[in-house]
Formats: sequence, structure tokens, C-alpha cells
Amino acid sequence: MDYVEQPNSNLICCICHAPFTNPTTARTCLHTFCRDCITTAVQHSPQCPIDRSSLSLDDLSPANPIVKHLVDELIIECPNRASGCTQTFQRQLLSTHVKDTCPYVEIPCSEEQCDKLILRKDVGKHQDACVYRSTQCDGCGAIIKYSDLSTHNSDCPSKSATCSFCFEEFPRSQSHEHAATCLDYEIPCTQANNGCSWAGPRRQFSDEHVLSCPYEAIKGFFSINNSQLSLLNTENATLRQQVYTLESAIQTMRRDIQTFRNILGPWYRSHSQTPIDHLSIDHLFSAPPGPSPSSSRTNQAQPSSFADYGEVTVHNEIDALAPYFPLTHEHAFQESHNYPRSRRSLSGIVDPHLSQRTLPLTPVAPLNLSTSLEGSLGGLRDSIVTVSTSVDSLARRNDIALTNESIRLNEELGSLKYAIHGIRLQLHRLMMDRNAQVTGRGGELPLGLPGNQTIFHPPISMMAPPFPGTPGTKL
Amino acid sequence: MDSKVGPPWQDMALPKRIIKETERLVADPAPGITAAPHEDNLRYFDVTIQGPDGSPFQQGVFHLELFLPEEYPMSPPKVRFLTKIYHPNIDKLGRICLDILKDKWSPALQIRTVLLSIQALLSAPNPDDPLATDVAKHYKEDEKDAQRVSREWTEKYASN
Repeated sequence: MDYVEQPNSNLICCICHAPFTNPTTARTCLHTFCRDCITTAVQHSPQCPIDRSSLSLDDLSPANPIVKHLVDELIIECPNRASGCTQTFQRQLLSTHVKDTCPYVEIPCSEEQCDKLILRKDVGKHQDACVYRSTQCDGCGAIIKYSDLSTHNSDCPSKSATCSFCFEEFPRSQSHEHAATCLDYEIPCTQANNGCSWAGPRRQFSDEHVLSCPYEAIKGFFSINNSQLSLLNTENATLRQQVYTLESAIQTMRRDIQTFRNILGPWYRSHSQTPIDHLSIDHLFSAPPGPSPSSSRTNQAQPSSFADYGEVTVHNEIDALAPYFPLTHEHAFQESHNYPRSRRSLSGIVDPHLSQRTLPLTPVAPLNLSTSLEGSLGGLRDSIVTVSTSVDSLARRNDIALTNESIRLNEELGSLKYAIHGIRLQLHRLMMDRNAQVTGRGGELPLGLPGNQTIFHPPISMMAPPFPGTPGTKL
Repeated sequence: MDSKVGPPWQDMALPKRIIKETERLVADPAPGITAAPHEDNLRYFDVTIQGPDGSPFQQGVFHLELFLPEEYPMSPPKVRFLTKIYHPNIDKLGRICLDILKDKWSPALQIRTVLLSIQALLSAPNPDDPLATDVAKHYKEDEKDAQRVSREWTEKYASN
């Protein structure tokens, strides 16, 4: 910042050697400096630069306002003097001057798209020359950017255009009408889309080319052909749609089969034999060949549906598919009911109506993994019923045998009792006989005999009913 | 309010104070002192100081170098004698023992005052705060003989 006159030396900061900026006075020694200068100096060394008395940032305060006014009112030159501004003003007006009035400050162009910086004094000149300024088309009157003017001129409907064939001039807005009527306008043959490569002035077309054009001669054929072609295209689209539907149906079935396969586990059987069919659909189903009427119906239904393939409709498609849907259900139904029956007859088991003799020889049916899950479960259930019935009848037979045996034993016990009784009687008689012999000999016996008699006397309880021929016992 | 208008000097980083000081040193030199900045480094000055009258260095012209560090004026300039001198406060390498070049520096001082202080130091050697101890001892023990040596050196090294 250059001062017009040499400032009073009392207003010069001893640190920067320029008039004070934000004059600041030390409260302790009353010396005055620029605020930035003294702040930096105290941070370097905490003393007054002039008298070396100690000084801290807290000792600093704004100088007397009169000092500020004196330096603010110093007259300075514009900092853009080198560019050409010769104005001088008070130092405090510097920022206003630069911001608002100095003609040598660069400011941006007022047009948004223009990014140029122009000296304030040149702004008016630039606005007349700026390529982004707004201007008016002298044909249609539209307001457009100057930079777009040349593009606009070649499009403006109000400006005249020249036909490049007949060189006639007309407003551009009528160029379409002219192109449709101009006899010199170059047009393609009407059969161009059928392959004719001719192109030429309109007047030549009707006069010469139509007579010689080979495509024109067979245009009847083209129209028939085209209509047929479009028919085929439509049909093709329909067929494509059907194929798509079928494919999605197959996808659904494939998923279902996979689910079934997972459920069945080891009971799942993939048949190597599949019905002889040219539709891969059957392999996907891997339906077991059954003697069911439905599968024979499938084979019969297909030839007829394929014979009419050229005119397949949505309705026919459902018919052609129909056999497959019930098929899977029927097979599942048959499997669950057929297999238990056949297995039972094969292994020849367990039937509550079979004779008792066969019972020990009939084991419970082994798990047959070759049947379906439901079939095996049904067979096992039947086996359990059979076993329980057998156990039942066995218990009853055991009861009867036990009762018979005990009756027989009772009878035998009774007959043994009688036999024992008979023996006792005989023994008694023998004893009586012997007794009589002993008493018949006289006193040869010792005196203790009466005691012996009591010993041999049978107990009352064992006394049999009185027999004839035993009166001697009282003797 | 420091304007960014470029000074006539080339170095844009040069503070305005240095420019002003240089201008004044060149336009209004102190008596017996010259200082001129190097063209390629405006912080580096070639300085000459004439020996003060009445001192053993009278008639001598002493060359010095002076450098303004980046922190100047917050830090003192670095000054060194290039001419040999027999002085108790200046050593063989030309280093100067002067308090304002060290702890007594103040930003209110400037190149001119520093050079004037050095000139004054030539007039008043201070053997009690020596840098060259042998010279100081000589000055203390036999000042006259020491001054004679100083004069001899001045004649030998500092006369053009």
C-alpha cells in the first residue's frame, strides 16, 4: 500500500516500518505497534521491542482511537495503480473502492455460461461481444444465445431454403410439402423394400422406371407373399409362446419329481424302461411302466395330437399334456395298493386264517426296499396285525391245554388215593393175622406186650370202614 | 492491510520492511558504513565499515557479511567480519560478541542500528566480555601494545 505523502513518523510501527494497522498499545509502557507485529514479537520474546520491559499478550489493548483515525485517514494510492487506476483515497475506503468502483478490478461476466474475467471498465464492451449474450433471430424473432445463432439459422422455419434438386426457393417450413411434390426430387423405387435398388428423380420414376422395374411386375406376388409371411410370423410367435409355457410346465414337474424323490429316499426307483415315446417329457417323469389303461391312452393320444401340430391351439396343447398329469397320480395310487398284495403272496406269510402248524415257519416279512414307501409301510402294518392275531390264538390254545392237564391230574390223584387205601387195609389184615399167632402161643412173650399192642394199633383216622372178616381186631 | 502489490524487487516473499530498509541504506547510508544486497539474494548484504577515528582501526575499511534470516525482524541478523581484525570481542573467524546480535535483539532494531553498534564496538573494545581470549588478555595486560598490534593488523589487512 503506497501512501501519497510520507506519513508522520509517529504513526510508523517500529517493527514493520509502515503506518500502524490496527494500532495496539502496551498498557505497561504505552508503546504502540500494529496488532499483528506486536503479537508476533511478544510470542518470540516477551518484552517491549522498544524499551525491553517485560510484556505479555495480556498487556496489549487497542490504541487510543485518535491514533486509529489518524492512520485510517491517510491518503493512499489504489493498489491497481500499475494496471492504470490513478485514484487516491483514504486508507479506510480501500476495500470499498476495490469491491465496487475500481475500474481495474477483474470481475466475472454476468452471463452464467461465460467464465471470463473482465476488467470492470470493459464490462460494457464485453457484453456486446460475449458469445453467450442473448440475441434475437431476425427470421422468427426467437431470443437465443449468440453462440447458437448459426445453428439456429440453418433450422429456423422462417428462413428460406433452396431445394437441392430443382433449386427452387421456399420458406423452410414448407420443405416437407416441396419434397412431396418436387418432380426433380430423388426418390427410391416403391419396391425398394422388396429389393429394387433404383433411385432417381420423381418424374423419371413414373415415366420410365415403373415400366422396366422387374419387382414392379410381380408386385401381386409380393403382396400375397407378404400377407402369408406375416401370418407365419404370427403363428411362429404363438408357437414360441406355447413352447415357453411347456418349458415352464416341465420345470414345475421337474421340481415336483425332485421333491418326490427326496421324500421317497431309498424307496425311489428310477425305471430303466420308459414308455417308447419320442417326447423327452416321459424321461423326465421317469414314470414306472404300468399296465394301467392310462399309459396306453397316452400312446394313442399322442399321434393324433402331433398330426394336427400345424394348427395347434392352446386348447389342443392342454389335450396333449392331459395324459401326463393323471398318469403320475394313478401310478402312485397303484403302487401303494399293488405292492403290499403282491409281496404278501410272494413271501406266503402270516395270515390269521392259515393253520396253526404253519405259524412257526412264517417269519415277518422282511423290508422290501424295492417297493414304494407306502407299499412297504402297508405291508409292515399288515404283518403287525397278523402277528398280534397269532399271539392271541396262541394264548387261547395254551389256556385250553392247561385246563385239560389239570383235570387229568386230579383224576389220577383220586385213583391213587384209593389204591393207597386198599394197601393199608391189606397191611392191617396182615398185622391182625400176625397178632393172633403171637397170642395163640401163650406167655412166651415178654410182659411188655400189652404196650406193643397199643403201638400197632392203627390210628382211628386210618381206620378203614369195617371190612367183613375183621372182627378179630378187638381181640 | 498488507497489500499484495509486487515491490520493485524481484523477491515476492521479501517483507516490505526489508525493502524499505534496503532502500534507505542505499539512498541514505550512515557515515562510514555501506551496505548493498546481493542481486541473487536480497537477504544477503555486503557491508563495509570504516574504522572510527581515534581508534586503532582508524583508516581501515573492514568488510563484513550480513544475512537476514527468515524470522527477521523477530530474529537478529547474522553478521560476521570477513576482514581479519585484532579486537577482543571479535574472534579469528570474524564472529562478533555483541549483545544486540544475541539476547538483546529487539524487532525495533534494524540493519542500520546493528552496523552502527558494530562501528561503536570498534571504538570501545570491551576486554571484560571477550570472545578472543588471547587478544582480551593482551588488551588487559598491556593495552598500548595491544593497540599497536591492532593498528598493525588494520594496516596489513584492512587498508585498500
